[in-house]
Amino acid sequence: MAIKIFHTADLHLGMKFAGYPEIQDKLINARYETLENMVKIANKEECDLFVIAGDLFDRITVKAGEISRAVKTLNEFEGELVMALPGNHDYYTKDSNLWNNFSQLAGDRILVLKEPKVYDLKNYHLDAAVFSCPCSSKHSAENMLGWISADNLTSDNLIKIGIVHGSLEGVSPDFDKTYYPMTNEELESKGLDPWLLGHTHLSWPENPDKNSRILIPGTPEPDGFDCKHAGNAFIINLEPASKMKIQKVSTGKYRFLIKQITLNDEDSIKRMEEKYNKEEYENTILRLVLKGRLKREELLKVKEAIKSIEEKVLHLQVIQEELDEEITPELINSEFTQDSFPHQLLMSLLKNKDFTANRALQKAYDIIREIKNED
Amino acid sequence: MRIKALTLQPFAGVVEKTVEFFPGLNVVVGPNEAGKSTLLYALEAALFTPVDLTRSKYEKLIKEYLPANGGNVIRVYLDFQVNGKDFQLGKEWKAGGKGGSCIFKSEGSSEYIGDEKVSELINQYLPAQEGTIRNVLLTWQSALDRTKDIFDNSGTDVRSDLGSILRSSIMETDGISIDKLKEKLEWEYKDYFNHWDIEKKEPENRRGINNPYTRDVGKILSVYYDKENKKRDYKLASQIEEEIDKINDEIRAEEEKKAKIQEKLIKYEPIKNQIVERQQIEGDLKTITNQMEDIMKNSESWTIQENWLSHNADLEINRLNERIDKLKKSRDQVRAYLENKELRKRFKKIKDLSDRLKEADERLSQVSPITREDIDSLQKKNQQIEEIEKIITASKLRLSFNAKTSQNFITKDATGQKEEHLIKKNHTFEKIFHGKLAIEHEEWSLEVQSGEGDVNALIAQKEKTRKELKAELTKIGVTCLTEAKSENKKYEQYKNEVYFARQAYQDELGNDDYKQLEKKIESLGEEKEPHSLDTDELTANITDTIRDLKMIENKKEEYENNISQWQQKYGTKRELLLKIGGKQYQLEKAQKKLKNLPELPAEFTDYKSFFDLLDLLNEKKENYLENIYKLRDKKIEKEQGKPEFSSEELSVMLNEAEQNYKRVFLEGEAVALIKSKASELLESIGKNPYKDFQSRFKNYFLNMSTGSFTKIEMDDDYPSKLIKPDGSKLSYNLLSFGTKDTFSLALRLTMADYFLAGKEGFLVLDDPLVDMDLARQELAAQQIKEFARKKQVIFLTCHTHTADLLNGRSIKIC
Repeated sequence: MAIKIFHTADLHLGMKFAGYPEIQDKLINARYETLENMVKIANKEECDLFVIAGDLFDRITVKAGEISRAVKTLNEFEGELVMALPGNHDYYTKDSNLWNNFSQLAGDRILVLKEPKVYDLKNYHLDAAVFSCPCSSKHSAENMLGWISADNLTSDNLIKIGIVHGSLEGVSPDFDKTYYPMTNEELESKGLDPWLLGHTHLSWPENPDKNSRILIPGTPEPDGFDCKHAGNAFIINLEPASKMKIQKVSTGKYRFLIKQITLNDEDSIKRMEEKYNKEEYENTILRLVLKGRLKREELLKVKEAIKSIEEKVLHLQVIQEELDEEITPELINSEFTQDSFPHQLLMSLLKNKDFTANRALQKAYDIIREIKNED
Repeated sequence: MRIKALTLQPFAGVVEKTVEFFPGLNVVVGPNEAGKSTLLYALEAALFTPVDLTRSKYEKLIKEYLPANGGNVIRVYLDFQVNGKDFQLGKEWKAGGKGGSCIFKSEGSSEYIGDEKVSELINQYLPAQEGTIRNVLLTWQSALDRTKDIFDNSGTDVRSDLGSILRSSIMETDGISIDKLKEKLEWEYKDYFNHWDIEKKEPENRRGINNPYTRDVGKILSVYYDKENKKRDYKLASQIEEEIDKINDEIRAEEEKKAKIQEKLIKYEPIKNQIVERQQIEGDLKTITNQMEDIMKNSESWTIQENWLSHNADLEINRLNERIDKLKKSRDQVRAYLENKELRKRFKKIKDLSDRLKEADERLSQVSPITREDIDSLQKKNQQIEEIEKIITASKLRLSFNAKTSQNFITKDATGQKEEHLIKKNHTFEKIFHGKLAIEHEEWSLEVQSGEGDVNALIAQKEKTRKELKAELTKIGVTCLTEAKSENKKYEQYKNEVYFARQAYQDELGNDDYKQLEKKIESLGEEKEPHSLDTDELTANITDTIRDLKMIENKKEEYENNISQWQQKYGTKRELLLKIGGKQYQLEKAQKKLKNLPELPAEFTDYKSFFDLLDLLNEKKENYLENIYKLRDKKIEKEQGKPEFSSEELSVMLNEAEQNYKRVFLEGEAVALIKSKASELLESIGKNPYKDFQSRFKNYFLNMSTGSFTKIEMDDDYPSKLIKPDGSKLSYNLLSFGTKDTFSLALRLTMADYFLAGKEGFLVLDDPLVDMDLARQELAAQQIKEFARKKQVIFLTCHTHTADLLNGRSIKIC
């Protein structure tokens, strides 16, 4: 019997996005919408299992309404069983309000993998056993694989699925080794097939194939600029003879995008404006890092372009510290009387080429112009 | 650059017009709104405004010059000459600013089009930079014009110094007030660095986020506080998360311990009640078994005791009683025998004593009864005699008799005792006498008597007493005192013997009567001695037998009691047997029950250790639970103290705050750099005044001042005060408007001189004489004409009078 698994992790429901006050509500809400979207996809794909490999929630102090909203959505899953593994953000302890409330609300087709043990799925009409490795605190220098040994592995024909949350060496950044660090070798040595991981927000492998046995779906809804993808999940088709088909599906609502653009003339400004006015950027939180030297009127064009992009994308951040007005001796000569104070000041600032002098030149120019315009 | 001609085709209100200009003074005369200024604007546009414009630049620079009567294009052509070479510049602007064209032609050379190239070429031939031309040569927006306002309004004496007026006039030619700029820079600087210690790169007075400034917080301090707050929150969040992790670890450890206990409890707790039951039943079983054993034993004893009572008890009692009687009898017999034997012995003794008494009486009766009193009397008399003798003896008389011839004589003492002595020749006879001596010699007699008392009387007394003594002795039948004493002694002795014999006899006899005793002995006759005379043994036998009897009697009583109790307890013996059956049934039932109950686990030796362990485990479990609750409470407390965001979120926020701080700090540094550059500049400008500036100015000004001033006082290279003909000094703010205009014109001419020195150039003057009095106008016109000799001047005026004064080439505009 084939088993089809929808594999996701790191949805981080309840993430607060304090850095984005203008779109905070949208970003918070998007994560629930993505959960709904994933359940829809899983239903459409007729998945048997819906696996959340940790960090369904961003924290252990989640409001009751948020828990019930998540449970309600998961209850829409039409397959056999939803399995939620507590990750390091939503770790499980016996006194966990989060998981105790969650379990209370969840029906018998949503299973919280609270314990490090084997969950036999025969009761759910599936010839599979799940080896659960839940997190029990936010940080740990030891992963949760320790309990799995040859003794736990029965020789029956069940498919043995490992579900674990933590950093994978060489894949996840975990410099201090405090996020339940694991290695590929360690996972492979356990004799389970496949391993469904959570924690890392980028999908790995980037393009899984039938030989991929250790799978990280990444976050289904991007949560910051370090998460450049569109939000993914895996659909894994398990055959009893360990044949596997893995499909990567796009799940996210919003994208975070950082683009560095050098603007040298009006054309480049125009190109930028046109590009980010396209439909595809509508749900993008865009950070433009602008560089280059432009004339005053070109800078005004940039302002206009930014305004128009701002209207198109979900949210725009512009960093233009390195986008300067082209202040040349000619410009100074054309605007100021020779030997006048502004003329001399700007000329003297122009002499130094370092960053501070350049900023000073820009600033001085702005100040002088401001005073001039006041009069 | 000298302007030769300017063609507007069309431009603003002018449809088509070419104005030619010549070297020297050109006076453009026309009423207001005739288009004089339009010429100036057209010239400025031709020189500096590109033909391809952005929308905003178009609106700012060109739009207002579109023909008033319609049309979407304007054109300006400028002919000029540089070093005798002719050039033509043509520019065409279109409505909207896009699609205009420009052309630069030089005499006998190629043509150039395009804003960039054309602008480059124009700049090449301009006498000064664009800003200078705009601000000094084309228009005059010197700060001096505004000084009116400054002085009128503030009256500050900063400007009272003429030198600083001139200085700032040049510096502020662009219309930018240095003070405002300085003020603005100060403001900006403060905006960034307020309450920030620049050198230490920390808040002033080290007032960090724990004691922050709340007012007038500079931008740098503000982002610094933001960064530090984020850092603190991040640290706090990380720390609390770590602490919560630790508490979770502790909780887990307690839970594991509890689970281990629970494992054991799960094993033992469910069988606890059954083990309690088992313990109870086993207790019951023991009781029942004991009861059964009791009953069986009782049953057996009952039979035995009953048998004994009915068959043996009385027999044994009788036998023992008989034996006791017999033994008692024997003992009485022995006692009687012994008593009689004793009586006989006593009687014999009494009889002996009686005999002895008789003997003593006999003996006594045979001696003289000389009593003690007799002796005493005798002795008294004897004593009297002895005492007299003593007195006599005491008067010692020593006789020493030396015989010169042999002598024979008799001595006689006081008692009359005579002693014969024969003393040989030359011998000495010595003798002591008492009281009286007498020597009787054949031839003589000698009597010597002691001188004390009457020895003779004494001797007579002595004799008398001796006779009395002798009479008494005779009376009692003795011869001497010694004999009397001896006889008395015998008498006393026998008398005593009788006494003691009687005493012994009486003592022995006591109250008995000798005769009766004698009779009794006689009546006893001969007696046979029993086999044993040991009554103690007999008594011991009796005691033993009585004890045996007592035991038997006790046993009997005990048995009777037992049987009575059993009867009370069990009724009849038959009923007792039925009871045994009942117990047997109970026993079997309990054993059956026991079979269905779990055994006490093998690891326990007894029930107590099982229950003790259960209690201990439960107690431990409770302790762990309590610890877990405490830790959970601690965790809740920690969680409540946690910042709103997680450490990961705060890390991102901190990173952004740090970036922000860096950025703002760099901006601040830029402002600081501007400020320091500005100060440097101002300082260096003060030290390096413009060369020859003052003399030129002085010249122009004094020539235009109608003799109102004769001198300008200089301060270094700058004029400081204006000196009137009477020697009084005036500072700038005391000048009249007319004088100020003169001052302004002199300054402008000086600056034009300065910027056009050694160059071919032009100066456009827009009615600068309008506020001067007539005399001054004439003098000013003179100076302008003077200037026009060296450089081209285009003078715009609406006053024909002014035009006349200037007497230059007149260009009329209607």
